[in-house]
Amino acid sequence: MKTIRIARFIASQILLLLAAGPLWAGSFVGFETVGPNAANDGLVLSQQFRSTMGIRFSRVDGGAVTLAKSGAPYTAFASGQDTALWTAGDSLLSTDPWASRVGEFVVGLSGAPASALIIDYDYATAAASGLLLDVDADETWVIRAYSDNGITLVSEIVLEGGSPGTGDRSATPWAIVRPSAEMVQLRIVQTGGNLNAGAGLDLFAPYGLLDFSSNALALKFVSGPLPSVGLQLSASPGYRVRLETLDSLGSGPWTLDQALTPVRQLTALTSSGESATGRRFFRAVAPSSETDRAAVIYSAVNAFVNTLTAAQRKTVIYPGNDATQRPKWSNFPTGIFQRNGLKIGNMTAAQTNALWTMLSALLSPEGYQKVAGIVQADEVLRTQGGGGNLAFGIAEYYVSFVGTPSLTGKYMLQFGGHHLAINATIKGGLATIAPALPGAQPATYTHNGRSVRPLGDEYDLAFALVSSMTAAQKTAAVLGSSFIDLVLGPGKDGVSVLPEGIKASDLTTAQRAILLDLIGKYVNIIHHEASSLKMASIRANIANSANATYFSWRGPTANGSAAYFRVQGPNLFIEYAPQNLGGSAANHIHAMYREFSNDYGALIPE
Amino acid sequence: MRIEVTIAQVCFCLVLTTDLHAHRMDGLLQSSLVEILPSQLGVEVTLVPGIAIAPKVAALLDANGDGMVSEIESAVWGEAFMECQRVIVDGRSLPLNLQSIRFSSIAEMTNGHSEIVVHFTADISTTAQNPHTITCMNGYEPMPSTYQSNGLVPKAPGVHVDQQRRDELQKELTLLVVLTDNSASSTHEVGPTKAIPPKRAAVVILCLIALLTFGALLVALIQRKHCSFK
Repeated sequence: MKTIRIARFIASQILLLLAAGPLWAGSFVGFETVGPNAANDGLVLSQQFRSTMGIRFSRVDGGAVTLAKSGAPYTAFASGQDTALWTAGDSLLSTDPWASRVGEFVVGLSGAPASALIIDYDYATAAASGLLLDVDADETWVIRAYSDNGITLVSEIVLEGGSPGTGDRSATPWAIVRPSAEMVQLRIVQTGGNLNAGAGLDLFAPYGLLDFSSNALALKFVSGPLPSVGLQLSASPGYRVRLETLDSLGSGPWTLDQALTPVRQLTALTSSGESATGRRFFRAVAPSSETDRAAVIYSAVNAFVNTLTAAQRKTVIYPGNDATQRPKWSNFPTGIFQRNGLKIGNMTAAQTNALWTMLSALLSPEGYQKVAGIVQADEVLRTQGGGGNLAFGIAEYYVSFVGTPSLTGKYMLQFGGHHLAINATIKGGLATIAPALPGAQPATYTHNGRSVRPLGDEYDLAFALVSSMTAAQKTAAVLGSSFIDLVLGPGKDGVSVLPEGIKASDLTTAQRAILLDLIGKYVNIIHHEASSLKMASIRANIANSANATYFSWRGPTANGSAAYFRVQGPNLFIEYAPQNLGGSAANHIHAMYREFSNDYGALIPE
Repeated sequence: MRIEVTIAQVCFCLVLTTDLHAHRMDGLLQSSLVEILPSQLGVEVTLVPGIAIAPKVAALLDANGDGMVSEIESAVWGEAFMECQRVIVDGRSLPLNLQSIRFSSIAEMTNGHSEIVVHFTADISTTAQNPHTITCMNGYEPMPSTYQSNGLVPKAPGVHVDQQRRDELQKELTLLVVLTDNSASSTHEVGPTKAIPPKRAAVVILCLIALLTFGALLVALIQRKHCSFK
């Protein structure tokens, strides 16, 4: 169904926006208050939002729609009787990007089809969006939009448990967009096999896309007579955003409609007009510059620092010239290697949330996902019985700063634990994470019913590259029949090994494209404003045979084999090394990302 | 068998049963980085023992089993290690100068974080025409070992490495090096490590005292051949 694809596409754009920086929604319902009154657990929802939003809540079976509060009794994320077994019921995982934004109250959703939620509109809308919480692996939730009272279906979104973006105690954004204001009713129904399923609805934007976090940006769809459609965008001072449009997906590049840079006060612009196709797609791209990103990063860093006590700040912030703390990182877990700073296990919930928000501001969406996946892998390791005198798990990841964070000054943010070292040097919007160690054990695991491979794309691309090679190319690229360990791992700063393997200039154009994708998996861990500059430089140089980029492989070339690979360019060094430490070497990976002349941000001016 | 080692081995066994995830298991990883300077060659070898053999490595260092590695013990171990190293330039074996040894404490080794970093140099004085063939061989093998050998990108002007070759086990690294005239004036530091100033006189005196004190034990250690060289 085309509308689904469109809606999903737009939802993906929303995700990009959210990951890019704090944004806001003009009109959404967070359910933390109900009209002028405070929310409470079990409060029956019906017409409380009618006067302000023009919406009403009901159920297909006539039952009550109730609010659920996080914590016991657990009435939203599991249907049926409350059980103390669900000790963290009705609340998101602290690592979920939306955890700090959904608040305490959500609309409880029941998995029985007869209990489907109905939202009726007094005013037709062209768009609606929100979050569905706790879409478990055995559940399928469908959001249907009708142009009348539940008869004429105009669009639907299917959120299938186990698909990307869903999961236990996770938030799944959704959006429905129509070419005109024709939706007057939404129904949310569970069609999966688990009739006892429970879920939650929150951050519901009945008339637009969506919601963002900090009163900085707002998107709102403007309805009008066919074929007119428009979008209103507003932003706070300091935030710049580009509004881009397209009348038909896949027909060409997005067109810049307007750029908005409020200086002194909240500013709004409206884009509307006729579409040649009867449809128009919008996307807001922000932030679009280092200046914007600098504000986003500093805001998040400052918010985290402000959660720290005076004593904690002393243990977290080191002088900018501290040459001991700067290289103090490792792949080892606590018990072998003692990191400095504050560990998650000693943070409050607010500090943990601020930490993850800070990382999401610093990293790209895929980089954030990778880091979260590595940390979660260690949590899996902990639950599998790793221990003894070693400490595994989320609680054992530390944060520290070298230099005092500021909007314009240069400083370093260190975040690391077992199999992870992010050494991010930041100055405004400029940033690098080199040297970084993104490892994983287990390299493949199941989380919330989904298979997770934090470094899986890297291996797949490297394997695709080596398996695409001719015999002659393999002779140059494959340097040994078994994998080796990291050559420039922790403690090996400041040196560069002789490059070896096949030159990228000796690859075909298609092979070079794979290699660039592979490189991007490491370079793009940092936010896109920083990584795009680096990737542009690498892309421009990739076919250069004099100042070459090399790829080498050590190990079997059968898919899934434990194999080492290395990518080395003039200012780039990537290693991927399986570890023969008991168990499958392919399931225990150490990796390195270095920028020889820019490790620890050496090229970023003071 | 000394009681200290026995206790250490028990500890290792306990760790072995519970902490498999984070440690190299067996074998000794020996990773060499070789840097060529205009008139000198620097080698840094990092040795990382697997947890199963860490007690043996600890025992090699801590010869008297007091839980500490003294300067004498370090020097004695270094001597044994250096006996197993070869640097051959244009077919001629060069004398080697041990610059520094850094190692984890015995307590750290007990926790599974074992690392020994050895830094040595050799003076290059050759008049042969370019390119020069420089071969570094690591024959230290007190127990089953795996080897990694890599040449570093020269930092000094006038030094160019044309080619890097290894044997299958990476115990041997051969570099084809071109040295040009302007290389002679370079004053770059050797290798990435901070060299501990050699205290040769003190070491000699202490060695003599140690020889008297530990007599047969040290002689046995010195004579103990861990080299794979013939």
